[in-house]
Amino acid sequence: MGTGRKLASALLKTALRHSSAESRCWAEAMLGELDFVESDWAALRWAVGGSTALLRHSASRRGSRWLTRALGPEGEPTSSRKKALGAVLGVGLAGAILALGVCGLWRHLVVLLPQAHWERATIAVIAALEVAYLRGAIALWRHRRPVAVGILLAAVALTVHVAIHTQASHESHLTGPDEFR
Amino acid sequence: MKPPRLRRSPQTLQVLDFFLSSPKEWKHGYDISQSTGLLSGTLYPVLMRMAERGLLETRWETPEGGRPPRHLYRFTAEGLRYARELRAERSGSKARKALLHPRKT
Repeated sequence: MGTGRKLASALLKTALRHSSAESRCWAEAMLGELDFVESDWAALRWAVGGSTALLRHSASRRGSRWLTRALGPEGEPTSSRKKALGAVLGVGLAGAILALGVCGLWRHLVVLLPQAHWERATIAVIAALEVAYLRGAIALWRHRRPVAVGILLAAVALTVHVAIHTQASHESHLTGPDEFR
Repeated sequence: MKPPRLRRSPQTLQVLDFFLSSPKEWKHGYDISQSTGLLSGTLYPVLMRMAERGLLETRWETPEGGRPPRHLYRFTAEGLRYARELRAERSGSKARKALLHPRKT
């Protein structure tokens, strides 16, 4: 047995150990096919793809069990609850991307740019994020509409927030610092 | 009975078409992958969804030579009916499209 096949087998066995009860049978199915895959390289690809699918399946089963428990005795989440959760997920996703973008911006900003340019750079990064949100929402609109709606809501909230901030800073520039003394 | 809801992705349609080619035969996962060109990471989620919705039945086969058992898949009666209906629907919509937008020669 070649190294690639050994690695593939080890990978699928690890996935099998960590699989949920519902996914275990599928992990065994993938492992059973491994002996019939021709080359070591193909076996490794088979194992990587299979393990990813198993992890996703296990995670979704565990997630839906948790959801059923969290939503109380009524059991199965209703369609409107699913939509609401999708929208919350979209907002969360947009928030995480924003946090990453802002962190990345500040790391570079402090080192590379003088303070006078910070505001413009922040607006440029936020504009890029808005474009990314819009593209993401368009891509998800057909199959994951609630998530797309969540992303759009976050984009609108961010735009309003930036507009208010920009206006406030503009007004403070116009009135001058003496007013606040 | 609740109708099976399956996302009609091109990959799912490919797998359904493959099973429709010989609906009575049991198929191995790797053979399906070879015939459809789908990788394991794409194929197995489709098979899982189909089995969960009662469109596929599964069984284990023990090969000779101490090899691990293999999982086999075949359409259930419900799965076969669903796949045939879907194919009829698809060919109907193709025909409608051809009527609405005839190709210029």
